[in-house]
Amino acid sequence: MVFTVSEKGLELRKTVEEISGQNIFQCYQCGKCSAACPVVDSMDMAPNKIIRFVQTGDLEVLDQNTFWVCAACFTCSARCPRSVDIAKIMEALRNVMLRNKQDFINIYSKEFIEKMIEEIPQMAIVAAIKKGVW
Amino acid sequence: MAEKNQIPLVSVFIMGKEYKIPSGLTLMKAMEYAGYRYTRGAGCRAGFCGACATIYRLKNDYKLKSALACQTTVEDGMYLVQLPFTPANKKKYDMEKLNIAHNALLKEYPEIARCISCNSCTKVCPQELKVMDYVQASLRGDIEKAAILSFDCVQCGLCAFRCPAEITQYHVGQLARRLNGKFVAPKAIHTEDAVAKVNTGVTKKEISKLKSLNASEIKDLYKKRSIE
Amino acid sequence: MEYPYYPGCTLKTTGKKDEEAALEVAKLLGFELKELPTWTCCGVVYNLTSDVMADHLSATRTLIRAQEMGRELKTNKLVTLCSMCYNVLKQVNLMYKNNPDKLYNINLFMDTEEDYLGNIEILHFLEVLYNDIGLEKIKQKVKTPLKDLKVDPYYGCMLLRPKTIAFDNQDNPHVMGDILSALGAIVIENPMTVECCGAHQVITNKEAVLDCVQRIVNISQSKGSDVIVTPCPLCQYNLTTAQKSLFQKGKINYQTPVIYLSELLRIALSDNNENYLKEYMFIKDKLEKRGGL
Ligand code: SF4
Ligand code: SF4
Ligand code: FES
Repeated sequence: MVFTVSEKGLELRKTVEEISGQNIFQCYQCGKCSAACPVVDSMDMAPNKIIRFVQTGDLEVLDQNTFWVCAACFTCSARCPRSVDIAKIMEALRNVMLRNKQDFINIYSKEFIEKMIEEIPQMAIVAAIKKGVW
Repeated sequence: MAEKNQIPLVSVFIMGKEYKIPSGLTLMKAMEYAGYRYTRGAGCRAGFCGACATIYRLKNDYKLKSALACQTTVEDGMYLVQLPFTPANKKKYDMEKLNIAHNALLKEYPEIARCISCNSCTKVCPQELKVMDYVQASLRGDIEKAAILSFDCVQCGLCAFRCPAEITQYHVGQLARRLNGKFVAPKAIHTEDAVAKVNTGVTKKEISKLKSLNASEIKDLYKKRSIE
Repeated sequence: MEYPYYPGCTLKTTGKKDEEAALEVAKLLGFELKELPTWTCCGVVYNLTSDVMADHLSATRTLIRAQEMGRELKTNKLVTLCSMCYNVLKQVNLMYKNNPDKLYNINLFMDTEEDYLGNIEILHFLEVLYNDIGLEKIKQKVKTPLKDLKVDPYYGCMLLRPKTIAFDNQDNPHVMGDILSALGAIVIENPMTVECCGAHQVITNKEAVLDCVQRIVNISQSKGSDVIVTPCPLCQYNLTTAQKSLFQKGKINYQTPVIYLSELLRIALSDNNENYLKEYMFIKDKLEKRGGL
């Protein structure tokens, strides 16, 4: 079977590698990251599959909620037998979206403001905004 | 004629065009000297209203400087432009419904959570306020500190222009001062007394007397007023 | 001994209890945490990209403040109480150690500040207790042993990951447990101790936090813990509030109290802890029942 990767797919792969500083082909798809991820149940696509999609330059990867759901807890990176820093790849994918002016949250939306109840620690708000708004 | 020309002229670039301006003039007067007429961007001409925010650079300097045009005198080799207006989102809020919980400011202006502590705002503030510090105080819910640190803000808007996090600092500071005044600072009892007194109608007679005067009588009265 | 101390935003608001208790514990153990005179938010989450420097400014500014205060106090240490502050400050610091060119650039950018020299050492409060004070001394200072109180030390992610910033065994940490044992408590082994609580997802994906917390709490409860102990204000919040929802949904049978390590330390170390115990009736009851008081 001949496997071709589109121009755009190649570009995405390159950008992700650049932003994350990771060699995406280090990953040999063992799935340990996905097994370890504490929030994998809320993800459209498991982390190892996300990496596979980036490897193959499949642009659908950008439509997944995975990297927005990522809590940046570094569990995946700690477990990877190939020393791939998956958390950095998630950050790179977030950045691909954000730098393309596609914010994940709108901090002026009613929905967001309502979340800001008095008990919520600022650190949660700042973290969510840092990860989800450019 | 010759006598007049003894004031040395300096070179000032207003929006890219060079003008020879007598030294000692303020930027505002320099603009007028160069032929501009103010319809916006000037108010009190005394350093209080913040309408005349100006940014400039000097020759051979990379630093971007700021000034209130009415308060700063021209220098040779200035490149300047005035920013009479800052597009800014000013929240509408009902003071009666607000509180001073630690997230009170964050709720109205969640963008303060985006501050990266770059200090650009502090660097540009013509009032030399610690703008970053008052934004940070706001983020951590220290309303009193935010109010005190932003007290001398003239709302010129320069900080908001420089902020990479797109914060409108002066609106945040203003809300902090309002909250501080309403909930934190001690009540000004004499104001309440004065208002109560007005409500009793003691001033009515004086005011109707004033109302009956014509313009030149009022002018006379104004000239003779006692000045504190 | 005086340590420069960086509180962070949350320790001044929802995490106030942690700070109050920790400052007192420090005094009881003979050292002082001196708050930096001015400080800014640490940034909360370390920017993981290779090309964005702006997000490191906040932490760098704090490192410079620590450098200034350190000169006065003759130390290069900076102590934090919050796990996320610890994580960010330490990662940024490490990034400069590994990339002197980035440090050079950022110093150039921050031209109104003194240069950061890269020598500050970031410590978590736990490290100070464990390494600088030591278990022996803590043991000696215990006034009310937490006899038979079953505690579950919960680390969360930010103290131990990535490996380069961990001060304890990454998968099998013992520092917090050792300290709690020194107070006389029974320490429960919970394999979920380094699992994430869901962190900031509490804002954007609350369900995920509920799942995370349920897994953590299930094991904690099956092992019979009386209390879950954490050093992090976000873990404390998530574990407490998620348990409330889980309980309402009938997914757990009861709610285990979650308190800061510093709070337990204060109870065990202070002479007159009646006042504090009032706030923690569950501890008082347990201790009395087990003859600990
Ligand atoms: S704080 Fe901002 S708006 Fe206020 S005076 Fe300074 S620069 Fe102008
Ligand atoms: S300019 Fe904006 S991001 Fe920079 S310190 Fe000021 S408020 Fe923060
Ligand atoms: S015109 Fe009012 S401050 Fe300059």
